[in-house]
Amino acid sequence: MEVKDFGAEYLIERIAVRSELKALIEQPPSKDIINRSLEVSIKSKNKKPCLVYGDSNINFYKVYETELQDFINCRLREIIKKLEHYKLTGDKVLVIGGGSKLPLLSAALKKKGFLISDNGAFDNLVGLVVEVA
Amino acid sequence: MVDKVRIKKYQQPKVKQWSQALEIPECLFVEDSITFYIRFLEGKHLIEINPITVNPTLVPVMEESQEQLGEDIENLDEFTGGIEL
Repeated sequence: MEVKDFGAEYLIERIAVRSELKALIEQPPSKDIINRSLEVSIKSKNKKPCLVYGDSNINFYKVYETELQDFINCRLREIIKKLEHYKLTGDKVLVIGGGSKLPLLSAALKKKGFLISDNGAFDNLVGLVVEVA
Repeated sequence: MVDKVRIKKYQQPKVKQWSQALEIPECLFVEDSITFYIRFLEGKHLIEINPITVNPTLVPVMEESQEQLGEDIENLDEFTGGIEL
């Protein structure tokens, strides 16, 4: 089994430390608030995408979209190619983990024909418990 | 090739002020500045910065342009924005 570090935590770290979010909110971004905001996900506001930072009314959708694309290019592209190969050979690919719930990415993976777990955030843990037991 | 950037004396107070406010080292502030400026020059800047003062509380954000808000959403569940896998 091949294990690579391409978790959502890396993306959240990037958004917190390297993105324009800090300029947008005029203070150091909180990873917890970013995480919570992503869990709330993107809403439609006058048919435009809106990703609100915490309890503010600050929309950081564009920042997220840019960082997510960078995350895909740097971390996911290679593995998605591999998974598509498995798909072509008839395998079903189930995407799990917190990252499977990421706004935009989840829908994009679905469009590619991957299955997204309903319980993505806890599947890693459940699988680990089964392995250990 | 420039491998060291000297912050001009007249810029130092502001750099110090914002580095402290954003809790980032000055070297990252300079790196961000270059990144944002290049994006701006290439017309790819993500946000418009209001003239602001250091403020410990979150303030309502400015009105965004329609272009900044991205494409229209027809179906939220299927919305992938501008990303490509």
